[in-house]
Amino acid sequence: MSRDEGDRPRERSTLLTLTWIALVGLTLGSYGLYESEAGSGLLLAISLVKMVLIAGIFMELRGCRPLFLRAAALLGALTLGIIVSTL
Amino acid sequence: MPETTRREFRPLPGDAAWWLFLTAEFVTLCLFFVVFAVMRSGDLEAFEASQAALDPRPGLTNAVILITSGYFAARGSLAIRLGNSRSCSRWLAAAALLGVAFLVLKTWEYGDKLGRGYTLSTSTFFFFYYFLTGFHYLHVWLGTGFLALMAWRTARQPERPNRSNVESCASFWHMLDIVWVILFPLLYLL
Repeated sequence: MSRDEGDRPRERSTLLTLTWIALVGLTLGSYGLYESEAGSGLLLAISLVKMVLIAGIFMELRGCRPLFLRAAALLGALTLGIIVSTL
Repeated sequence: MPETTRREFRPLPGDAAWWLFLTAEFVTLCLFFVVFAVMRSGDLEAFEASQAALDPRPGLTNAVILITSGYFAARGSLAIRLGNSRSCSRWLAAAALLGVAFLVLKTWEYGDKLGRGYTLSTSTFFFFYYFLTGFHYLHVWLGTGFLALMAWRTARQPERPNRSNVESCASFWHMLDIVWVILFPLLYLL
């Protein structure tokens, strides 16, 4: 499937806008959790969700070759996992 | 027996070779993050004492700035794909402006810390703080320059849109956004 097939501009722009709102909300929410001294693991879980949204929606990696996606996602998750394990 | 069909995948946006560079950058930064986390776990008290000198609000503001700038870059990519070069140029220019805002705020933050005597040699935490954010800061300079250049080129030659370059530029910008998504909680919130 080419990038152009199935593109619906209005839907794509709505998706981008909703993703932006979600990302801003998650960012402000993580700061709120920090203020309320919530667990570090939860903060990093929010970071993981944000990474997935940016990579999948903004970078349009959703639906790209799975080997590349798997490698990048594995590396990112591994990094966050190691960070969590050291907390 | 039914014929199995190969699943079709979307092509990567932008230039394929550029993705090798992005991947290498991402791998390098992940290694830095892991080293920081391990060092932190070895001397948590000292790290937390140094971290207390940081104000998370500039980091939070910069996180929102980068996310919004990433949104503008993504809208620019969509515009060029639809053949609307002028709209693409405006979106990329807006993204670049927010990149400048990030740099201004980060520069102010560095000045504030240095003015209060927190330097690279103050503590291991501050060594990592300056090293990690400085690495990112230099890349934001580069990314902002790319965005501004692509905004100018698409405005100057709207009849010859270079979709691949715009998408590559936007991908680089989104990678910087992802890096800050990890850096902000790692340095300011944990």
